[in-house]
Amino acid sequence: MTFLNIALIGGVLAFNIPLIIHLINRSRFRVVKWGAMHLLDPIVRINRKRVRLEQIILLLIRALIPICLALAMAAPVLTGCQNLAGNAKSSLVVLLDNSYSMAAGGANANFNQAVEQGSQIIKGVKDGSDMSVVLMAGGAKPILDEPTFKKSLLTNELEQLSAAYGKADVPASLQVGSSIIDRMKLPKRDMVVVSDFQRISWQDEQGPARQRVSEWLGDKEIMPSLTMLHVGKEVTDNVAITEMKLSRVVVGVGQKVAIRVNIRNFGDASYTSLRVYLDIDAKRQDVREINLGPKEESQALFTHTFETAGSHVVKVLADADTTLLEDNSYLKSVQVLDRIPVLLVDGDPDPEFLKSETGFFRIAMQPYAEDQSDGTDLLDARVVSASAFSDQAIGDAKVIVLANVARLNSAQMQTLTSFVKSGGGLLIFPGNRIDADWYNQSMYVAGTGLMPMRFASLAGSVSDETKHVGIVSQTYDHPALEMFNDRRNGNLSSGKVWVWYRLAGLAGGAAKPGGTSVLARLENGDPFLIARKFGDGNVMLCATACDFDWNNLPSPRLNIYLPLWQQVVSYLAVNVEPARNVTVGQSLLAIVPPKATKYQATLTAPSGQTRTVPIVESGGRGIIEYKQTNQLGLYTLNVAGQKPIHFVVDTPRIESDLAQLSTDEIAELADSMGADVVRSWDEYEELDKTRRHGSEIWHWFFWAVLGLCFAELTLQHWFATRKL
Amino acid sequence: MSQITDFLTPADLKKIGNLQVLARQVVEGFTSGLHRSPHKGFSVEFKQHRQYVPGDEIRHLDWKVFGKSDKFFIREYEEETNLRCTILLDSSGSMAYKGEGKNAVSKHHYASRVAACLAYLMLQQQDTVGLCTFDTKIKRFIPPRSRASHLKVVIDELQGLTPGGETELGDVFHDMAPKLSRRGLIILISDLFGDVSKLMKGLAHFRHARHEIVVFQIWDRDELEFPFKNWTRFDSLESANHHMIDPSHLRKAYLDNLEKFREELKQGCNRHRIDLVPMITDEPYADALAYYLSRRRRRQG
Repeated sequence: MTFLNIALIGGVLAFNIPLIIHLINRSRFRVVKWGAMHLLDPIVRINRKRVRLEQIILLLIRALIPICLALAMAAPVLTGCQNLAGNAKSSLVVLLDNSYSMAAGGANANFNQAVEQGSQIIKGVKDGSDMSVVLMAGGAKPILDEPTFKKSLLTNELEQLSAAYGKADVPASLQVGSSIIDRMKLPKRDMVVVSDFQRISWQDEQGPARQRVSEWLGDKEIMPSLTMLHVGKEVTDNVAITEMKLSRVVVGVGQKVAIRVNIRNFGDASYTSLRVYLDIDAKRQDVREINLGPKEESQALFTHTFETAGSHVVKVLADADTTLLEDNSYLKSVQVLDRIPVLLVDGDPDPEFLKSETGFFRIAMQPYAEDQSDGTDLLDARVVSASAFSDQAIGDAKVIVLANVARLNSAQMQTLTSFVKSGGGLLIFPGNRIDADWYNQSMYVAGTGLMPMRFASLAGSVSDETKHVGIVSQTYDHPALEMFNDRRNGNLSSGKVWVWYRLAGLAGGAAKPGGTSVLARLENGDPFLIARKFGDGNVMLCATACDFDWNNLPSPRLNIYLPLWQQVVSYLAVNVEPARNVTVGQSLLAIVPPKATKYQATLTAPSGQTRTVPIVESGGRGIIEYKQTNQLGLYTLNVAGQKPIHFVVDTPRIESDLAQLSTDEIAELADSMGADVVRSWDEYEELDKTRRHGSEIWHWFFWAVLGLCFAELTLQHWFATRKL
Repeated sequence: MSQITDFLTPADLKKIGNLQVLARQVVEGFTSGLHRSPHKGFSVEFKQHRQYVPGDEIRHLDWKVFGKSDKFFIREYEEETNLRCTILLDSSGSMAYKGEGKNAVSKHHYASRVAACLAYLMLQQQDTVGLCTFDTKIKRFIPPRSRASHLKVVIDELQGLTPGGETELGDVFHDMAPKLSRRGLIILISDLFGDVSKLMKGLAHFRHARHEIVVFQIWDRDELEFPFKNWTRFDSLESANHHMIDPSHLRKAYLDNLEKFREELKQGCNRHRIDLVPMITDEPYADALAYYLSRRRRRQG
């Protein structure tokens, strides 16, 4: 027997109270000088033994009352009786694996079996039990906010579920299940994990986290019985498109974009002439045929030119006959831009084009236009002198580049600040003409201004170009430089910088989201390119000049100048737009013009279900947010008067590896977690019967208290009034 | 020397004064209605004439009236009696019981006042009153006298009396009977605790000597209701005997025993035509006496 409130068991010592009261009463008797002894003598003589017996009986009952009361309050649980199992109510939490892999298996998918087994378990518990179902993928959330006593409610919810919700988060699910079971009240507590035990979800890397949860479960006052119900068959043959990459961060109208996809065969079958299709906005555009051996990975490359601006959906589909079709395709939402106007503020203009500060930069922005060759430039650069910089000069520009601008007057500064705050991009290059002190005072402003860092000192030498530093070769995390992780797109470390400004005083804190971050460094550790968020806009600061004076980056031989600054400027122009390709569970966010706020938006989910979402006006814009992104696939947002916006919710394709743990591995896993393994509901039922759990018997003691109170009153009355 | 006012409160005396006529009629009932006066022709006064009806004694015919009117009339007389009343007051230990109430008095205290009250009443109407106090034996016997000053003698005795000792009424009454050779009214004031059969034999002894007997049985409320709840040691007022008990467990048995005792007393008194008048110490004795006297008069018709 165990007790839920073991501390209260000490209350049984209260049995002393009636005994003490009895002894006190006996010791504190009163004395009465009595005359009618002839009436008292015979009854005392006759009833002496009877009275003593009655007193013992009453004393016993009175002592039992606090004992039973203390036992009732201690909530005893009878653990030694197996037969009580079937009759005991229980608190049940079912962890249901709804991960991507559970959709495998065709018509009789693993997930359908999991739902059926889960429903059987729920139907099998005794009425009055409280239950909850936690979905292991898509954020490890219960399907109902609170545990319920209604079986039908849960089973109906289960029937409406579908798999393909990303990767199962086992430790988080166990933790959520444990916290739910903690809130439940019944002493018999069961947690059942219904899963295909996909190797990728239950791999060893998660072992420590799982072990922590297991230990946590073991430390509970009432440890729940953990059962692992292995459902479905292992499906090894699976082909999945594991990755899709576009050659451009920002895609412009008329620009050719390379679309590269990785296709992987997780199974042992060979695929010859496997067709891979490219669909743009649900229209077939191209097809490739590839050969894919067992466990092999291959690539397919498509090119496409978008003719219209706006939101487009790129879909690549591998025509493989596998049981898990969801990962045979890969979707991506692409925002195609018409043009990006860029304003270059030249602080060192020169009649000779290439000698001006922004000469090379302008060519980098619009190479086709400058070369007068065929092709479409996404960026549309205009050059103004520092003195001509004004609100009118900005016009429709999305990015402003300050190149070796000595200083700005206060009106210009105000214009620039409000431009960035409202979502514009700013790229700052120093040079021999800049007034570093002014920049530090007016643009850095002790970390609160536009500049992410302040100019500390000038380093390097113009006269001795041999004393140069390069840019550190590294893996770039920032989207603006990500393309340089592939050396085919250029090698930043090949550039040489011989004069640069040492930068100091990270503004906003490097670790803060949206704070200052160093995108690239020079070989001596000095920052090369720094970014920060300011208002709704973004600012980047380069440590060196944008022409040939202080570095050799514009050299055509290096082939890094154009892609580098095109990527940076494109990023500055468009990154104020929220992400259109998100992972499962991440919110969808869209910004619409303020005039759209008077309408409602409708969102079509991958299932085809359409729902209305509100548009909230904030900061002069309309914000649309949708959080229920548990389903993978394409979400289409429609706002009256606006073009549709596409979102793609996806999950890491690592889930496409459908290999499951072997029976031995599952047994070993269960053993490490103190769990039992079953293959079906029937086995679970048998196991449940043989478990040595208990039945809460506090109500027995409660009724005993009531019975004893009643008996005490009745007996006392009877003893006092019965005829002798 | 004690005065009656030392013993009875002015309020009680006032109530008793109102009882004079009542008491006189009652006493008449004892003598003329129940037995013949041993002193014939004493204090006989003419009251009225009434017409003769067959059955009337011829010796009561008024021959003078017959001579004048040739009609038979009977002469009716208003008789006076010189009642001999002896008050027997129980002074045994059990009479010392006193409840715990604020105005509680002991049974002996109460009985003494009842005795004083009765003596006062009797002497006020020229009857003779005697007093006999006893426990296991006769403590003091004051012969009946009718002098007004005799009240002081009685009250002195009552005032100096303290209850104590065991009692056995039957034996005492047998000892007492020879002292009360002349028949009269015997008023016994006692709790009557003891063997009922012996008590009845003692009272029968008095009845055999043709005494009229009235018994005022004095009770304390505790003795009738046995209200004790917590553990209590009952020490006997008459001996070293005691009982340590939880009274709530024995209350029912005690009350049953009490009822049985009272029933035996009642039947015994009925059998010997003795008036048994229960009195409880928390009731005013003057009221109790008045109630008894009025009830008795109604019974006489």
